[in-house]
Amino acid sequence: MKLVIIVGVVLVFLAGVVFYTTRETNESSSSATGSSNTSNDVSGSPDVSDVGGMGNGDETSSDATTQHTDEPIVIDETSSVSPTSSVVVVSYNGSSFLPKTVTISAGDTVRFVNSGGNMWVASNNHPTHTNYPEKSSGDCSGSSFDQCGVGSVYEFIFNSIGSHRYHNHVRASQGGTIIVQ
Amino acid sequence: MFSNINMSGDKTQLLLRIGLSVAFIYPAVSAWLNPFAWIGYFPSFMLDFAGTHELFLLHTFGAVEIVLGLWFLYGKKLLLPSIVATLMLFSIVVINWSQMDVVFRDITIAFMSLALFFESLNKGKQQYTQ
Repeated sequence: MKLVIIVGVVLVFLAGVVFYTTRETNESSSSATGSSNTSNDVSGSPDVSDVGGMGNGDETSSDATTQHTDEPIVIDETSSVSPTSSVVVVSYNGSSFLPKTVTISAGDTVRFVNSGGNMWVASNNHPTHTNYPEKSSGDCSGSSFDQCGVGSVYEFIFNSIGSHRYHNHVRASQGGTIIVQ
Repeated sequence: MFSNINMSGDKTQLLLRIGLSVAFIYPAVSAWLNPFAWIGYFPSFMLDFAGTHELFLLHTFGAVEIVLGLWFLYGKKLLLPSIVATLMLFSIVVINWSQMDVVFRDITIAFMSLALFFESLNKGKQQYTQ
């Protein structure tokens, strides 16, 4: 009888912790945080066919070399960003981010658009996501640059100058670099 | 089932078993509720092998973890679950070596299950020689 009580308490405790932490993660992912405003359209579609290996994160540096594989799409939007800022689109096709490296100015927005697979954009290192230097109380992990869940669109305003590597949390080998000047 | 659960004797073993059961049941339950938070821990070759069935892989692994966790709570014939748990945990550490900031606790838990394995082995030998 004593054992039943112990087992029950352990299981209830675990379920409560998991439920509580999951609810907090979901709530933080659906709310904008601080000056680094983000939007996240969570779709949760499961089917994916990805290619990749395990990725390693690197420290933020300001002198990284870059290679542009595609020209980035730049959108001048004055309705949701300041008149002097731009929105750069990075698309995710299920296996890679394109363009892989993007150079923007401080205060610009990068919009990650998912066109296939599960996308959860977050700062390196995987899985703690701590490299990006901006942090706020509403963060779901180690920094503000974290989508906090899978979704179809994720926007993030980069205010911190430097080279910021990111990855797809669901497939850690897939990622890219945002260079903020 | 619960009436047969081993509650007598060594409190040390009981504490080890409770700790191990939490270490295995929690991630399985959490992965069920928030699968994409955990899927990234699988190595790429396993995810590539799973293809579009990566969630099936995740929940199958979770089912194994649940079985192990409940077996530890059950507390009998612990040789098999303890050695399986040890091998699983050391594999996780090796595969995720670059993420030592996260997996260092798995080293600790692996030694817990290894201790339980040797303790069960010694008890089995004592019972055999009596």
